[in-house]
Amino acid sequence: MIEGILFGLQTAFTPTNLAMVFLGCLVGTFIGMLPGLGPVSAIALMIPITYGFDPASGMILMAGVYYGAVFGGSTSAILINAPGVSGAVATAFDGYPLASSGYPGKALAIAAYSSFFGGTIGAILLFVFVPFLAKVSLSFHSSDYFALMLFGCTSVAAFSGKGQVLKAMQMTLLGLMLATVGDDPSGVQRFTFNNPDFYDGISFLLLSMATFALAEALVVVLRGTQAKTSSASKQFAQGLGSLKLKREEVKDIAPAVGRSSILGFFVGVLPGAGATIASFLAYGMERNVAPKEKQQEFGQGSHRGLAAPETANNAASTGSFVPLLTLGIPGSATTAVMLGALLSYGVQPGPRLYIDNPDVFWAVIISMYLGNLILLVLNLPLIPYIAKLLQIPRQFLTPIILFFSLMGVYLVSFSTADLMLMVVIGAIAVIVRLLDYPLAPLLLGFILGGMLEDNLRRALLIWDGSIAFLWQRPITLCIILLTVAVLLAPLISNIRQRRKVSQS
Amino acid sequence: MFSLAYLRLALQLPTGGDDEVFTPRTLPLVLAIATIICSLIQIALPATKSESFGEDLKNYNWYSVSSLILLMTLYVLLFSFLGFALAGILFLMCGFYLLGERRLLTSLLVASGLVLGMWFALTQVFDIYLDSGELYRIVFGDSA
Repeated sequence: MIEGILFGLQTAFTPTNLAMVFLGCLVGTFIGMLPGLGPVSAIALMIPITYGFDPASGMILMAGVYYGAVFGGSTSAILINAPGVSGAVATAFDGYPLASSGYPGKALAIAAYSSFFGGTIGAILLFVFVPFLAKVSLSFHSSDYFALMLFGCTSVAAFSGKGQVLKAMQMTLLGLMLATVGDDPSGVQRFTFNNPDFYDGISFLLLSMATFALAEALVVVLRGTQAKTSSASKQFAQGLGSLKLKREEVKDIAPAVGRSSILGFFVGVLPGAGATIASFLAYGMERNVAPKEKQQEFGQGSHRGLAAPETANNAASTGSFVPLLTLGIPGSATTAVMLGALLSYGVQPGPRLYIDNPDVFWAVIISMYLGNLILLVLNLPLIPYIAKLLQIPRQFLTPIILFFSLMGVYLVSFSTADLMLMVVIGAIAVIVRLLDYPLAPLLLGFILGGMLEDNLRRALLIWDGSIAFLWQRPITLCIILLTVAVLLAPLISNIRQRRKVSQS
Repeated sequence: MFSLAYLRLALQLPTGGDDEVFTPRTLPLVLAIATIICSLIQIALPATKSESFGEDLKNYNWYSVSSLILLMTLYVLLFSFLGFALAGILFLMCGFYLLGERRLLTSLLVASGLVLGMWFALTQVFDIYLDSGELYRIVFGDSA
């Protein structure tokens, strides 16, 4: 392990990779700050750029973009009450009131320090848990992997929120269906309609760009949110005030940061839970444990109320790498995109990553910590300048985002047929979003589809076509039972709620 | 409807021999059936859309979004003819105009600066080939 860490340090601390982390954090902050574009879009936009890089540098850049985008999302939540990402919604509860009451610099500083400590504690926990889990998961067979893929698909659906479970399941199934387009491993063409453009299947990059970058930019235009953000951003044009914190303020937020880091990390580890749930849970927990007089401040610009969700969403972002790096199943939409990127580099995430590509494995973990450090040391002083981005007129920004999205796909495939498919999928994605269907499960189903089918095929071949592995292999059985429990949990809670309502 | 169409296409996939335990149609069939079941449950459950949903739809900026989708379609269709640079500049200028920018000179400067900068970086720095377009070849000849 020590050797691996040293190897990772060596990789992460090369001048190129250090520049990648810095560039990633900076670009990520820019993109994350734009309402409508979150970490998923930011990473999707980076994929074509990183195709020529070696896997470690590509992943380091993406990890930097991820943290930058999460931080950028919080910045727009604090300054203009427009969270760039769903994980920053809880940040806006107290961040915006604090900024509006004349302390925008302080609000940003609390967010940055909390994010840093959340990320630091998350990275320490990652160091402890990932190698252990990777060793355990080495004993997994194809049937266990099949069950894991199934668990990955269903857990994201189950955590999708009230009334969304069925929709998320449908989107996961749609993603799995799209993954079946193209040549199957035996060479049979499936759903290609004899069109050579479909022989290799639908590109992951195309789907992620169309459903996130393109669709989100169009939805922002559709809802007309640009007017709100540009007018709100003008009030901070003069300056952001001091970024310093007083000793008593640090003492006040420190316990909240500690608690929220641990909570956020473990929530982030759960596939599908992610930064949004972690930030809301941390906000709720802090409000409950705070003394009565402090409770009154929540929603009015409470320092604890701002620090808790910020810490938790960063710790959860770190935690979401655990299932990706150890089991090869993404814990969130962002890590799903990263999984796709890793696969396109020819790197297979999972327990073997620890052994086969220790440079990628450790360099990603170390660069995550570096990303946090760079955000604090370099990005925070730059925030007043980066915030000016919020003043760029949307009539310029949206077509530029669309252009970069289209070019991102073209520069990888050099096919106008892919561009046309992207426009069609982007247009459908807008309608799907309006109908309140989540798009992350679609991407997750699409990415896991190939691996799910491969492992099912292998498991069936090993077990002579019998599905007895589902109950005869203890690990498979445990994961299947967990999958069923996760699927039934929202249904049971729904029935309980109905009973309570009918009783009252 | 989509699931039924998918099921129909899945049934047309080859099954392989009798001794094959996993065929190209195995997973598609399972997925089609699962999606049909989910869709039937969705239809059976009461609709949960808020009352303001219809009102929200009316207030949305449909004109701009449909124009942008049409613009992207035209961009893709004309890409091979106009080439990377010209298609890109026209796409951006039209996009700016559709979203309310009326200063043509500013639009031209922003669009051409961005596209030509990108063209320079990709072709000269990263050595990536970008199609100059049929129009360019017609005007300047194949060797240009």
